[in-house]
Amino acid sequence: MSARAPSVFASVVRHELTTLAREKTFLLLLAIFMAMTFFSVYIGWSTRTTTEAIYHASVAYLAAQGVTSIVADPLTGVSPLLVFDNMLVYLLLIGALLAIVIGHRSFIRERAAGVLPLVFVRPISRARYIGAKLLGILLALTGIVFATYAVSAFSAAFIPALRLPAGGYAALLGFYAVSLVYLAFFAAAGLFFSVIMKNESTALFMPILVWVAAVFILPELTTGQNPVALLNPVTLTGAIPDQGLFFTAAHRLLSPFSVGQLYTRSALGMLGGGIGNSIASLFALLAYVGVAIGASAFALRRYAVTRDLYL
Amino acid sequence: MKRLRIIGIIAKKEVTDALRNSLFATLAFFLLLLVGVSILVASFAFQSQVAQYHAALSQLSPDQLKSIVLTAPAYYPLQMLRGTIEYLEVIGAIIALVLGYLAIAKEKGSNASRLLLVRPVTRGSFVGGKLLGASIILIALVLGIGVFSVAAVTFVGHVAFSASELMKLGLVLMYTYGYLLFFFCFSAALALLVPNLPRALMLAFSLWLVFVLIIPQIGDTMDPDNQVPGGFFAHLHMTQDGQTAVINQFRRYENFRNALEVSSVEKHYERLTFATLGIKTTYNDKSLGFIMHDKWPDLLVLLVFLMGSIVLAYLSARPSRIMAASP
Repeated sequence: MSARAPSVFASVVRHELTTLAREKTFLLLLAIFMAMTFFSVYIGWSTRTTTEAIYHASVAYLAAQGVTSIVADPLTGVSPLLVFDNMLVYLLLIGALLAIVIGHRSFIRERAAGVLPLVFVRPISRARYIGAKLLGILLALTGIVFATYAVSAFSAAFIPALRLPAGGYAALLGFYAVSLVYLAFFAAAGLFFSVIMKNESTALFMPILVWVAAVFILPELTTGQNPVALLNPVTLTGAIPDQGLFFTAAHRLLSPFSVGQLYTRSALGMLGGGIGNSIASLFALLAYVGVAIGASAFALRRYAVTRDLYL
Repeated sequence: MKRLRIIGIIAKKEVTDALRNSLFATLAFFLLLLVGVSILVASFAFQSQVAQYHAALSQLSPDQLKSIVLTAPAYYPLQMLRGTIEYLEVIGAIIALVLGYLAIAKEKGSNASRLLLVRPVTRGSFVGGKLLGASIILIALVLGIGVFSVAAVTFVGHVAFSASELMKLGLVLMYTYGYLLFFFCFSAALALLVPNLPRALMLAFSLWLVFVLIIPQIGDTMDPDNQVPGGFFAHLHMTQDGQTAVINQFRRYENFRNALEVSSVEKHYERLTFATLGIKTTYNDKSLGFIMHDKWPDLLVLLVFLMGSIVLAYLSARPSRIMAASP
C-alpha cells in the first residue's frame, strides 16, 4: 500500500497542472500577461530613448534661449536593465491576479466537483496531498515565471539598439526569481481563502482585498503618495520624500507588512535600481510566503472533506 | 403603468438583495474606510508641506527673504479628494462589477428566473428594473461617500466647503455614478453572455484589470515628464512654453501615448474629475464653464461608454440566456 503512495502523490501534482492548463480563465490571464511581457521591453526601451531625445531637444531649446547653465541628463547612470521595470508593474497587477486564480482554482474546482471524499479513499495521507497540491502550484508558477523570463529575453533580443550590460541576463533571472516568491505569496493566499471560505465568490474576493491592501493601501499609508503610485516604476525608484511625523511613524509600523513594497524593493535591487535594503526585503518576503503556505497547509489539514456535501 | 410596477418590483428586489449581501456590505465598508484613510493621508501630507515651508522660511535671513520668493502651500478642500477618486476608480469599479455579476448570477438558470419569465415581463422591464435597482444602490453609495468626504475634509482641515465647491463635488458624484453604472452593465452583460458564471466574473475582472489599471499605467509610464521623480521638465527648469515647443517635436510619440490613454473609460473619468476638483492645477479655482469648455469631450466619451454598456446589457438579456443554467 505504501509503495503506491508516491504514484498517487505524482498523480495529484500532475492533475494540478493538467486541470490548470484546461482552465479558460487562467489561459486568458496568462495570454494577457505574456503579451504584456513581450511589449513591456519595447515600451521601456521606446520611453527611455524618446526621453533621451527630448533631453537633447530641450538642451538645444534652452541654448537657443540663451541659457548657459543646463543640468546634466537625469537618465545618465540609470541602470539599462530598468527598461524591464514595467514588468514589475505587470507582475504586481496581472501576475498577482494570475497567482490568486491558480491558488483559488486549485482547491475550489475539487470542492465544487465534490471529489474530495473520493480522493481520500485513495492511499494518500492528508500531509502528502497538501504537499502535492502545493508542489503542483509552485511548479505551475515556476513554469510561468521562466516562460516570462524567456519572453523578456527574446523580446530584448529583437531590439538591436538595446545593449544589456555583462551579466544582464543573469540579473534579469534574479529579478524573475524574486517575482516567483511574490507570486507564491498570492497563490498561497488564494489557496488559503478557498479552503476557509464557504462561498466561492467570497473566497475569490478575500485574496483580492489582500492584494488591494498590499498594492494600494499600505504604500499610501507608509509613503504619503497617491494610492496608485506603486504603479509608476519611476515613483518606485525615486527617494521617498520626508513627509513628517505621521508618515515616519506609519512607515516604521506598517512597512514590514507592505508586501507590495517589499517585492518592489527586492526586485528593483536585482535590476540595479535599488531603493533601500533589497536583501532584507527579500528575506521578509520569503517569511511571508512561509507563513501563507503554512496557513494554507494548516487550513487544508483541518478541512472536513464532507463539509460541502451538505450545503 | 403595469410595466412601471414590474420595473419597481424588480428594482426593489435588487436593493433588498444587495442590502442582505455580506460581500457587498464588506466591499462598501472597505471603500468608505479607504476614503477616510486617503483624506487623512492627504491632510497629513499637506501639513508636512506647510511644516517644510515654515522650516525653509525660518532658515532664510531677512536679506535672503527679499530675493528668494517662497510660495506658501495653499489649502483647497477639493484637492484632498485625489485619493478618494483613485479608490473609486479601482475599488468602486470592483464593487460595481460585483453588483452587476450578482444581479444576474443569483437568478441565472434558477427556478426564480423561470417563474419570473412566465409572467408578462418584457426584456425592457427586466433590464429597466435591474438598472433602477443598481442606480438606487450606486447613488446611495456615491452620496454616502460624498457626505462622508465633506465631513472628513471639514473635520480634518477645519475649513468649510464653499457653495461652488459643493456644486463641483456634486457634479463629480454624478460622473462617479455614471462610471460605476458602466461597470455594473458591463459585468451584468458578461454574466448573461458567458455561459459559465465564475468564468464570466473572472473575464470581467481581467478586462477591468486591462482597462482600469494596465492601459492607463502604460500611458503614464510613457509620459516623458514622468521619467524623473519630481518631473523631467521641472528638473531641467523648463517653462510651460519650452515644454510645449519641445514636445511638439515628438508629436507621433505623444499621439500614440494619448491614444492608449483615451481607449480607457477610467482615463476619461479621471481627467473629468481631476479637472472639476482642481486636482489638475490648470483648472484649480476655475469656473465650471471654463472647465466644461475644455473637458466636454471626456464627458461625452464617458456618456458614450455608459450608453454602450446599457445597450449591451439590453441586447444580452434574452430569456434563453437568463434561463440557461451555468455549467
